[in-house]
Amino acid sequence: MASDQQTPQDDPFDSLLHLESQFYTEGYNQGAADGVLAGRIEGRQLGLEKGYQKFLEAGRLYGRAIVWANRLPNRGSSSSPPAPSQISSTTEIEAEKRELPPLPNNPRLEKHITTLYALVETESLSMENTDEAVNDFDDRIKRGQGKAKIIERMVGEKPGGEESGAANKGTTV
Amino acid sequence: MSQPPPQPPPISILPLATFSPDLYTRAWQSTPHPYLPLIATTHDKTVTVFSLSTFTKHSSLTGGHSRSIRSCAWQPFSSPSSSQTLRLVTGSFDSTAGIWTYNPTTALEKAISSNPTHTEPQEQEEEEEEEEWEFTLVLEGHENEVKSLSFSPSGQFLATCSRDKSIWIWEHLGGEGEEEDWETVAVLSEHDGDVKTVAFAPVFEQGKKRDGRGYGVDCLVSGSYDDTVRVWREDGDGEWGCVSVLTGHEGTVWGVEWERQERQGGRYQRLMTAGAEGRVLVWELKEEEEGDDGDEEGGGNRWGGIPNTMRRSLREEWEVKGELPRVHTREIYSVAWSGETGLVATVGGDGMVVVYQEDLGTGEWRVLGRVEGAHGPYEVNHVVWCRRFDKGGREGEEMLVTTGDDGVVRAWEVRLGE
Repeated sequence: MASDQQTPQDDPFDSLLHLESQFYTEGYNQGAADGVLAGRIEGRQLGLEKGYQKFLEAGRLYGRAIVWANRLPNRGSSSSPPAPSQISSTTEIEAEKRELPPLPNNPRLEKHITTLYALVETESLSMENTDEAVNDFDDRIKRGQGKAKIIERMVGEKPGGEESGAANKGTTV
Repeated sequence: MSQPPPQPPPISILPLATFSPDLYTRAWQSTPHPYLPLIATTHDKTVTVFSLSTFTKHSSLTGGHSRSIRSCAWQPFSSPSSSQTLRLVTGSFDSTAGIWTYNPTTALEKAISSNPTHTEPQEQEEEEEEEEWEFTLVLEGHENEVKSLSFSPSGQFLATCSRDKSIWIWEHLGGEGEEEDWETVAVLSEHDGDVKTVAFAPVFEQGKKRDGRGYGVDCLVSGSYDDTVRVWREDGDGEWGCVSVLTGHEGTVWGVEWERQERQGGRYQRLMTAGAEGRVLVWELKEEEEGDDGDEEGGGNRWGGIPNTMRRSLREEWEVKGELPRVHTREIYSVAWSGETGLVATVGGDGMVVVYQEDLGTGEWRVLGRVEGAHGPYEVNHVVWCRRFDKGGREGEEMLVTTGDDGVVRAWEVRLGE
């Protein structure tokens, strides 16, 4: 019946007749609202967690790249990474404490390290949440991890980051 | 025209010999040496090398791996010379690849002298047991099972692939014995699933000059559980990267095989891929004009001297130019393309060996013949075309060698028109 034709007799029974659908709608709305809220909370949590993990990994790789880059024997040449302020502070700290041994003079090693640095340079990594940006990030990190493995093997470091001498020959490669 | 299409030539695929002894455990792959009369079969944690002239055991490689050896590859020499070390690389489920060397002069002499008319093969084989293969080097790095390996035609690069979704490329820098030097050149992790197979492309004289895009000579292809095939090239600066992703299979890609004959007009070799859904696709590289990639860094189509960190646009396109007629009823595990005759053979879980031929006029592929139950009720894991060295063989003739779950390696005589 039309809503503007509310005859006095229908009024009191209206709510009774539509009780079921009223409860249903109420329940639905409450559930939806709760769901949206829970979804937001969980999504934010997941986002924070994933974002943290991803950038932690990126930062880790970046840090290793910087240390390796600084250990290259001819660091002053064009193949070394930019951002001189960062580098000089790192070397100062190193000079105060203990010098890490320089890396062997190997053009391939240099290339690998340069590529790694460029891949994980955090300034150029996008923090946007678009598909494209996320894929780009993931791709670079994966390639960076691959590069790090290669460099580790060439330098003689074990995956944990400790050195095991220049042991790249011998019975195990 | 009004004439009926020419009938395909009749073919006979007859059992020629079984390599002895039986291996009694599932055998995975048999790889013939590029030119010596030897074939290496992987089974359990061992590799048995058979002589192709007598079909009997020549030597075996034992004790180097703690788990199943699934694949092996002979290191090719740039020119046959008996002073070069005979090297075999094994890929194992224990996540390592093993490099084995053999005394070169003994191997060549023995293989040549092991023919049925010679009266001493038994004695030589007994002496041989003491010679054995020397387990020289372990290539570690993969996180889990190594599924397949492949050498580049020059023997310079070795590619290994694994369930850890990555492909590692190793470069042989020379050295003998203790001094052997292999370096990890690339770790490629772009597949989304277990990488089942890798294969380097054969290189012909035409391909040896670097192509206009600045890539190196070698091209690697990989098939994976993620249903895709990826093509990898080196940018001439030592950087390996994926240049194309081939999608089209609806199941795991178990086998990839390159065309082994040089093509007319300098066109690139075609690629054949076999998938778990039972289809075998023939791919061709779309030849592009140089320099139309619209690159980020400018100055050529390489990845650039300045490290290019932007996601590289896929540089090549491969398209499906043909498909083998569907005959197999279960998964196809292996496909072999003859460099001698251009014939193709496939084997799979249904125990069949099927031989196909391309009609050079129309480009269509047709089935020439098949063998059912080639290894009885067992699955056939691998097939390969192999030059015949036995006395019944004609000059330059090829036979098929199939490897099955029954632990038997079988040789088949394939003759057309008889």
